[in-house]
Amino acid sequence: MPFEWNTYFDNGATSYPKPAEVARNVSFYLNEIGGNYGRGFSQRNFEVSRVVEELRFALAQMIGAKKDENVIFTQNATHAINIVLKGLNLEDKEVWISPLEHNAVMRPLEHLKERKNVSIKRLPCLKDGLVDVKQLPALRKDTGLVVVNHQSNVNGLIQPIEEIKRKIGPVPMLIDGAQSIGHETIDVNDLNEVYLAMTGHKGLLGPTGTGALYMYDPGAVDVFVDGGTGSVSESTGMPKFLPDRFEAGTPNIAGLFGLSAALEHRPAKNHEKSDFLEFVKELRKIAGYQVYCAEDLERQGELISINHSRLDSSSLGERLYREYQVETRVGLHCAPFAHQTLGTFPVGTVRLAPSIYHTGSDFERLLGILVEIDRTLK
Amino acid sequence: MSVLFLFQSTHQVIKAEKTVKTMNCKYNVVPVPKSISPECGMALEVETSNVDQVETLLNENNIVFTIRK
Repeated sequence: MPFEWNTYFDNGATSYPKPAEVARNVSFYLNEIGGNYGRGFSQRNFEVSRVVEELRFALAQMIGAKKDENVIFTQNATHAINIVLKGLNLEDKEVWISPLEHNAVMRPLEHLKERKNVSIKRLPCLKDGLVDVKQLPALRKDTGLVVVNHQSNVNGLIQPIEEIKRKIGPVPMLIDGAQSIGHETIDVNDLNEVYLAMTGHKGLLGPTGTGALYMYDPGAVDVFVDGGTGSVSESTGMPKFLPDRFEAGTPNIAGLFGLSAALEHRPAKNHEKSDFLEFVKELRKIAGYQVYCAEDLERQGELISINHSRLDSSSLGERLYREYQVETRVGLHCAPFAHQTLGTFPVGTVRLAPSIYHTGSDFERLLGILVEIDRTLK
Repeated sequence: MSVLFLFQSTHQVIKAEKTVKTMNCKYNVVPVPKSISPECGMALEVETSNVDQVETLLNENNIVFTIRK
């Protein structure tokens, strides 16, 4: 850590630091192993393939997937979401979305609205963006999909995915787990008809350029990228079997080695969730700040947004960085739809997103700084 | 004498090797012979005396394979 305390509160964008073993394993692959996945029989190719498959197995175990081949590697959560949205047959169908969606979902859906006549409907919600399951109407039988952002990247609210799934019955659900994976427990086996998009570089503490997608029904999803897989090479068509059907081209092997190390060497959390919630409660007591979080703190993930009544979000973010070296993310966080729901569009907010490396005293220090800034504005 | 266990994908080869590794038997990871398939993939070479045991174990673990003698 370059500073005397952990000033990096931008883990919603990407995690920092990573376990030391992540860089070590990336380097180990690049400098000492080399080789490709599934392209040849040499020891180095076998070792690469083994690491990739062990990682697939570990991710499948983590999310409760019974078939690990239903977990495919992607570049990131956005890539995974695009595979599902553009691969399912959604033409002329309704797609319901949760109220705090990211552009990773909104932009592909806009594309489908224009080209495939997809109708986008918003799930009913409370003021903080929590899906109001009781108000959820009976969905049409031909509803194509329900998309739920599991943990908001704007206010950290965790949606009740189990309740929503129970309510929508057999309608398939796509869960955007970009912010929640690594922090929240997800059991795809319990949820049944779900697709789960994951990223490797946020809560899982792996390198950027890594992600994964769990598909409960891969047969319903068209191939997104065609190309070489090292299997059925005599055919110009894509293999029918998994995971090859959705993994054309050489994967990000260096990144997957890093992600593998991140899972294997995940550090213990340096704080209790109650430390973070205490920070949120104290911050809410300061009149100058508007805190964007879940009304019910039981539904709060470790990420919030704030604004100050006498300072715009860019200026607040800049003061935090210039005067205190505190790194946050200001603006719309690629989630204009979520900001519209929360009433913070187009001004945006300052997002505070700690990681498992933060200590209780880091939160106290940040609170002290925010109090200090507030005093200068009176 | 040995036989070859062939698999559909790298995913299945790695799963099979992990499974066979738990047994007390010798095996080798070898390239799929071009006379069998134009694939650039891997196969497991197992001594004939262990074939029945390996076959049972792979079936128990739902690993799809074919055998070439």
